[in-house]
Amino acid sequence: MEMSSDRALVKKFKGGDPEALLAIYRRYRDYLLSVAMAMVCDLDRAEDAVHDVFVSLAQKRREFRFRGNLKACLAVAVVNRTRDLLRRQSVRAAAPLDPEAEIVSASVAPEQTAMLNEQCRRLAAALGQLPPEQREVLVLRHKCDLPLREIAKVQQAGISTVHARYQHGLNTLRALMNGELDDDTGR
Amino acid sequence: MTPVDKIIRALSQFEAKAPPRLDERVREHVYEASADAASAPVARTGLRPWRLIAGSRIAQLTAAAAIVMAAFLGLHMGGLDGSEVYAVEQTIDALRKIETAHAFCTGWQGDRFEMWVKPDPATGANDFICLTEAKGDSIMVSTPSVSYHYLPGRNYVRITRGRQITSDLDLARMIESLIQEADKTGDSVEIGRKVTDRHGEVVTLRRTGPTCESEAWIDPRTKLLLGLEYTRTSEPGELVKRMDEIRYNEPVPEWLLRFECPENAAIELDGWGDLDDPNAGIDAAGLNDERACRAILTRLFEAVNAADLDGMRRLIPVASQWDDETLVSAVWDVIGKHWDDQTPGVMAYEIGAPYRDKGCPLGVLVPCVLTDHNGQRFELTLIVRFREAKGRRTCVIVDAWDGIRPRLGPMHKPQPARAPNSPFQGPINAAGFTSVSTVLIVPTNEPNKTTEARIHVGVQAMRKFIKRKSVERSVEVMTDVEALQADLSRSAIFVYGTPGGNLWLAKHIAALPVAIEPGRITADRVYEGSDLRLITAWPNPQNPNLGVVIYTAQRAEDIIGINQVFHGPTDFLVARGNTVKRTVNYVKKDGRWTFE
Repeated sequence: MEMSSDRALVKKFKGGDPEALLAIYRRYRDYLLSVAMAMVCDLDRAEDAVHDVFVSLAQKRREFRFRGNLKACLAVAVVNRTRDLLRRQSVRAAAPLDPEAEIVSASVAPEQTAMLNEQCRRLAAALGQLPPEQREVLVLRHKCDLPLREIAKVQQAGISTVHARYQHGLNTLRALMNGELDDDTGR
Repeated sequence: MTPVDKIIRALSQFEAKAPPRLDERVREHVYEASADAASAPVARTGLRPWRLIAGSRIAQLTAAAAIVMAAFLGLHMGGLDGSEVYAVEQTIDALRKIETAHAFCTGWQGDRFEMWVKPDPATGANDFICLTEAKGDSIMVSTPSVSYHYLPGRNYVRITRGRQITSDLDLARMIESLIQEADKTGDSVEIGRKVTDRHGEVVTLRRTGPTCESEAWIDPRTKLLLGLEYTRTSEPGELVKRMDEIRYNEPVPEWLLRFECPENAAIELDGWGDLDDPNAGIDAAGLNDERACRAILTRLFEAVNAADLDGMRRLIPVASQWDDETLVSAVWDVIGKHWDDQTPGVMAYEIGAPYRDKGCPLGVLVPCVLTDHNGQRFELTLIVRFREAKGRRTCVIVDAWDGIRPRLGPMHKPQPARAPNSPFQGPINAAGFTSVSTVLIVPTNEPNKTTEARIHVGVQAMRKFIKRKSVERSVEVMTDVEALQADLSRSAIFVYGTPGGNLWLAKHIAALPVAIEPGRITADRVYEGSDLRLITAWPNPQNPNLGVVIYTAQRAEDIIGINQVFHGPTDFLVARGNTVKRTVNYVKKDGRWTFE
C-alpha cells in the first residue's frame, strides 16, 4: 500500500474504508503498544487497550476528529483506555481471586518478559509502583512527547498539579531504579 | 549523564513489539465494527436535559452536579409540559455565558448592598466579587489571589491571601448548586410558573426544606435568572435574604476592579502565614535593606535549585502551612513556566535594588532577573517584609508580587461613611447596623455581685462574637456609670441589666411605654410572672438616627444568656426562658414609639 499521509488515511477511514484504519494501526501499533505497556505493565492489558481504541474508532468513525498530530492523538486515546482498564482492575481487585485466572496470568509471564529487554523490564516494574497519575504524566511526557500543558488538558488538571506529579514521579522512579540503569541505555 | 537523564532516556526508548495475534484480533474486529457502524442509523438529536451539561467546560469540573441536574430534570420531565423544564435547562446555559452580573440585594437584617460578580469562564466559579454596602461604609473585594476589606470610615484595610468572601453560591452555576444542595439535604424542588409584581410572569424554581425555602425566578423570554429569595423558616418571624434585581454583562467599574490601599490606612495582613514568627526569615541586623534583600533572596534561589522545601519554608512563612506538593505547585506557578521540564531551578539570578510601591502595603519590592536553563531571561519581583523579632531586625519573603499585582492598582477612593440621616425605625436586629461603632453597657448595681459578674462575662463573649462576625465594627464594653458620662451619639447601644441594676437603663427606661415590676410586666398588655425577659429596640436618646437594644428582665439571673432568646425581626418581645411569649412592633408616629 502506498505510504499516505496520516490525514489522507483518516479521510479515507472516515469515508468508510476500514483498510485505511488498519493502515494507521500498522503504522503505529508498536509505538502504541509501548505506550500501553508502560502504562499497565502487562502485555495482555496493553493489547486490550490498543485493540479497544481501534475498534472504538471503527465504531465511531463519523464522530472522530483530530487536530495536529495523529500519533499523539492515538497515544492519548490509548492512555485514556488504559486508565479505564486500571480503574476496572482496581475495582476487581476487591473480588475473590480466581485460582484459574492466576494460572493463566502466570503462564503468559515469560512471553511478556521476552517482549522487553532487561532494561525495559526493570523500568516497567518500577513504573508499575508509581501512582497511575504520575505514571501517566511520565509516559505522556517522555513516551508521547506531549508538553506538560497538553498533559494537563488530558488529565483535566492544573498545570502546577501536573508538574508536581511529574516531579514526584521522576523522583520516585529515580529512587526505585537506584542506579540500575546503564549509561549506554540500549535495546 | 545524571540518573534523571538516564530514566528519561530509558522511558523514551521503552518499546514493545506488537505480536501477530494482536494484528489478527484488530483486523477482525475493526472489520466487524466498521460493518456495524455503516448499517447503524445516525442518532437523532432530541431534547435531552444533559446535553448542555455534558458539553460545558464547567460541567467537566462539576460532574457530580451535572449528574444530579440531569437526574433531577429527567425525573420531572414527565410531570410537566416540558416548557418550564426547557426554560430551566436554557437558564443553566444562559448563566454560563454571562460575563458579569450586578445584583441588588437585601440581607437578613434588611440591609441593602450591591454585589458585582465576574465568573471565571473556565470554571463558572466567582472570579471576582465586590460587595458594597448601600451606605458606602464597607467595601469588600475578593479575588482568587487576594481579598480586601476596606472601611473608609476607619481608614482600615484587611488584606487576606486568597478568597475571603463572600458569596456562598457561584452565580454562573447557581441553578446546579441549588439543585445539588437540595439533593444533599433531601429538600424537594419544583418547577412552576407564577406572576410576580416585580417581574411579571416568571418560571419559578422552588426548593422547600424543613428549615429553609428558596425560590429562583427565571425570565421565560431571556432565560436569565431575574432574582432569588431565600427564606429561613426554622425560626419564628420571617427572615428573608433576597436578590431583588440582577443586571447582566454590565461593565464592572474600573475603580472596583483595581484596589489601592489608601495612604495612612491601618493595614492588617491575614493568610500570609505568621509573618511575626521569630524562627522564620533571616537576621537582617546590621544590614541595610538592599543587602538584606540580597541575602534572603540568594538563600531562596539556592533552596529552589537544591529542591530544599524546608529551606523555602523557613524563608516564606506562608509556605510553612503547605504540604510538599502544594509548595512545589506554588513555586511552579511563580517561576515554573520558565523551567525546563527536566531541570527545574534557575541557572543564574540577579537581584535588583528594593523599592517601595504605594500599591503594595505588604513590604518592599525586589526585582530579580532570572536565567533559565535555556538561557532565557525573565523578571520576577518578590515582596520582602522587614520586622522586629526577638528584639532583632529580621526579614521574610511574603509572596511574589507578580501574582497579586494585577489585583492592585489605583483605586477610586470611596465616599467616607455617612451617618444615617433618618430616624431609627427598628426592628431590633437593625439597631446594630446603624453605626460601625457599638457600645455594650453592663450593669454595676445588680444586688447579687456573682450574677453581675456572670452578666459581664456574657457581654464580653457577645463583644467577641460581634467582632468576629464583623471585623470592621468597633465594639466597646463600658459600665453603666461610664456610659452615663460618655458621648454615645455615634454609637449603636446594647444595654444589659435589670432596670434597677443598670444605671444607664434606669435613667432612660422611663421613656419607654413599659413598666417592669417584680410580679408583672406592663407593656402592650399585662404579662403576669416573675421570671420574664424583655428585649426591645429603641432610638438612641443622644441620636435618634441610631438604635438601642435593651436586654432586661425582672431578675438579674435572667439576663444571663438572654441573647439565646430568638429576637431580631420585631421591635419588642417578652419571653420566659428561651420561649417567646409575644412579639410586637411599636407604632411610630411623630417620633414617638407607642403600642397603640
